[in-house]
Amino acid sequence: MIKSIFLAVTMLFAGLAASFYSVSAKAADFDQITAAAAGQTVHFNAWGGSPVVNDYIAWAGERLKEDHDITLVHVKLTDTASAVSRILAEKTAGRTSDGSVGLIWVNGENFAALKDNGLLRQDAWAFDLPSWQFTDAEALPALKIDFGNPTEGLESPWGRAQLVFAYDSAVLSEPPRSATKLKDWIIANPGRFTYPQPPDFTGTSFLKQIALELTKDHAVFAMPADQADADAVLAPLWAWLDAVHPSLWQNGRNFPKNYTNLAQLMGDGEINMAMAFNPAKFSNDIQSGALPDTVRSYVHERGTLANIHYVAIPFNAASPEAAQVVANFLLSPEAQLRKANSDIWGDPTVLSMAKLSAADQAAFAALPRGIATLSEAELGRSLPEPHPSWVAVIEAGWAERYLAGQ
Amino acid sequence: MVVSVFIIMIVPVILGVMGAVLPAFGYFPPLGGETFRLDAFVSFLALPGIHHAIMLSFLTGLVATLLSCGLALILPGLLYGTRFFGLMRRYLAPILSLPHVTVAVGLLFLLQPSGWMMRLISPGLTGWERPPIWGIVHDPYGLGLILGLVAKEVPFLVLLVLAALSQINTRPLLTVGRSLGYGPMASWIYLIVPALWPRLRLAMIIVLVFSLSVVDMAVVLMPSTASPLSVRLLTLYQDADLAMRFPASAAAMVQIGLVAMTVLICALGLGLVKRLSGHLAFTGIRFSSAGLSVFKPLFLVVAVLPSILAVLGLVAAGLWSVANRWRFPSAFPDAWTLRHWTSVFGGLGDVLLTTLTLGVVVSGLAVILTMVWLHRHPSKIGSMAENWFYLPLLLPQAGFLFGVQVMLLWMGLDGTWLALIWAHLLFVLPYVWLSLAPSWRNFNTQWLVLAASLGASPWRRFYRVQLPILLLPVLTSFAVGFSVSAALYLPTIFASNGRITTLTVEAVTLAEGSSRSQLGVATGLQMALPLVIFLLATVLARYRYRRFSYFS
Repeated sequence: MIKSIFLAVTMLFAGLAASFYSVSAKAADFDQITAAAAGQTVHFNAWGGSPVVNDYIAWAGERLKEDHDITLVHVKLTDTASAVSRILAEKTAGRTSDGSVGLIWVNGENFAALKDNGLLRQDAWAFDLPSWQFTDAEALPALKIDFGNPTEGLESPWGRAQLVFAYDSAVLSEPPRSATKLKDWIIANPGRFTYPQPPDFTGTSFLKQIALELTKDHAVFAMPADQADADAVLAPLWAWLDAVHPSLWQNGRNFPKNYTNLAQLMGDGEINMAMAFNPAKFSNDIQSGALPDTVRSYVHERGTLANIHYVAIPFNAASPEAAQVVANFLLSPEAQLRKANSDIWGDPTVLSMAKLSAADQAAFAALPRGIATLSEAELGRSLPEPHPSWVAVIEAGWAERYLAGQ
Repeated sequence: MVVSVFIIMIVPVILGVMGAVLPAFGYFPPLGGETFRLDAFVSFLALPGIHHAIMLSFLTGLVATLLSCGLALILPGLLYGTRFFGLMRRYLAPILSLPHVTVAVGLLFLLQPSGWMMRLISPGLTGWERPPIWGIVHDPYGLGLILGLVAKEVPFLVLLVLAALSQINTRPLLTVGRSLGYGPMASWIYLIVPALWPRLRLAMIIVLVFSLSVVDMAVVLMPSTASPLSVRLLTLYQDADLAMRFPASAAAMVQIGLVAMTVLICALGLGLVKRLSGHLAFTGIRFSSAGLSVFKPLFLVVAVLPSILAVLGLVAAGLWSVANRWRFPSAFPDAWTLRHWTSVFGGLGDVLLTTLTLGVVVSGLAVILTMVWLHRHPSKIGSMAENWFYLPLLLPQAGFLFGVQVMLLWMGLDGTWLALIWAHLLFVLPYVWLSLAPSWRNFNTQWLVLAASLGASPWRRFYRVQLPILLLPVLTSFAVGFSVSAALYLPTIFASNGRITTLTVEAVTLAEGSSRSQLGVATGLQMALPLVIFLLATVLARYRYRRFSYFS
């Protein structure tokens, strides 16, 4: 019996030593990576339509230059799919190194396209980043599952998003808080509502939101679209859109390109409501003067879509070590704190408060919340994202029905 | 010399077309296309809304070109002999130096439902507190795009008309017409226009090809559900699903076919118009009644309205760039600020530098190459090779640029400055040639003979005699080349693979975003850059020109 206790204790110590060794080995590995990354340049392909995001990325570039001598070049994309297309073109041209994309801001169907075509670095580098220890994948399973697709460490989480709507309380006293009430409101107020045109991410997400709200059983959306009768499942969505389109802004013939464009329209008074995935977006705009201070956010009663966005490294990235250092910095408490500050960007953090130091926890708790930002409690229920294959089906269906000439 | 130019400039263009033709017919081994088949065309034509897109391209391109050509041929006739003739040249020329997308953005700022025009008249004239729910740009028939195209093309064609007028006997012809009893405009149309036409044919074809294949203006001014063929083509090429490269190449072929068909239709239509006007001339109607002069002011307004709207739009963009807050329906910003401009060197500073460097390098190279060619071929005899310079302008850009991109990728040169400079050179060289060759060839070589007789070496003759006399045309063509380079959109995207951004590319991205103030700053910079170069060119040339004005 003493022998077994002795054995158990030895194994315990061995296990601890091994994990300590692997952690310190990982840390040593990462030190090597950081040393190799000095002097490298990373072309960070990220959507460039929002000035606050662009400013944040510029700040990150300055910090990376100071700390690690890494040059971060922000390649501003209008559509992430174009960068995916570029990586694919390079793969077919046989370009396995020195690719034009160093790091890419991605999630959902774009990640699925990258992963399925073998366009990403194949090792689970995201789980080896030192900053990963501050996250809690049990509490937030979405950290490892992107729209139902396991990330397998191929992408590192960056921020959280939940679809919120906004309205101008000066012209609208009570916003419609469900899909059916929204439909009635649009028909009663023609020309004062619109959504970004699919295949824009927010636009497609709005359509997913409506589809989810109009369907009783959400399980059908968790499975791939080709295993379900897509036409029957989406029929309520198309009926809703058919009823609403003639009363949309500009008769449903013209749509804003993205959510920032949409918010600008609300600021101009052309429309009464807007939507965004960043809960702090509208407070940011009030601060910058783009929106009047009577704008407030709201969510639908049945809950709204929530997801996580990530950064990923292509298989042929020119400076993979520097890209990992960048991803690690973006996930670090310092960067996440600044990102969650609604005076700067307001994108919620993916870090777990319980795993942070006391000082960091206090800093997060002290973050300002803008007048148009909802609290965690007010954000209420969140709906899980459908399987990525539904995106293509919805986008194709929308294009068939609502593009000119149809 | 000829051979090297061909290898560097023309052969890649032809290879690029091949690079688009072959996938259109199904042959593209890297993507698994091994056999020739027509599936690509079938899948392309089955895309949603594509027939509408083709029709839209055709109509907007044709109508914009016909309008611009008509206005450009008639406007100088209306103003000939009046003091406005000289003013016309001076006031229309600055719009030429603006990139197309700048004019488009200006029109957007002016004419959208919450644009400056609506803000100026609300709530005073209209009583509106909120923008109307109808719009003027973003209409489904492409009227906004046609307006933008006409605003840019009319100054270009008018300036070419003015240059051509100096080569024909304008005044004597008009005098003959008037003395035979024809009205002033009838004399112009019957006598001057047929003489101008052969000199302007090439320019009008270039305008037609451009209007049919314009991408950046269409992105800004067309509604998002009704894009013309050129925009759909770009989206197909940039689609994440690589299998879409086949329909994209088919689209490029359809676009080339559309351009060829439209040129043919225009040629046939022109033949018809010539015959009809011949019949009309034989009827002997003089069109000299005073009642017809009521059309003159109307026509003048229609002719200059697009350009005036463009200028007003640029003023609106300028207002947005210094606005801190601007609620509808205030006529002017509620709060002013300079922070958008002072932060420019953190935001647009590197893009500005890129555009400036690229434009200077490309334009300088183009001017030097043109001068070398002109030096080697002083006369026009045997100049068939020179017509090939215009090839990149006569093909729709997307058609061969994709093939060129694949070639660059294969050579490992994509995304490099070399590739970008070469791609810009393809488009800048024809314009530099157009603006420099006539003046260069008009140079009186007797001055060189005189200098040689005084013992000057060839280099000294060129540097001390020919160049100073021709300084104004050389610097003007440099400025022209710079503005062309600053305005290029598709070549920059394709050749740099998205890595290198110029002001024009940034402006299109910003126009799809939200920051009107940043877009205003980008527009202001796009206005300022070519104007500064033109100003420098004119000041420099005039400063030295004054001593040499005797010699030209």
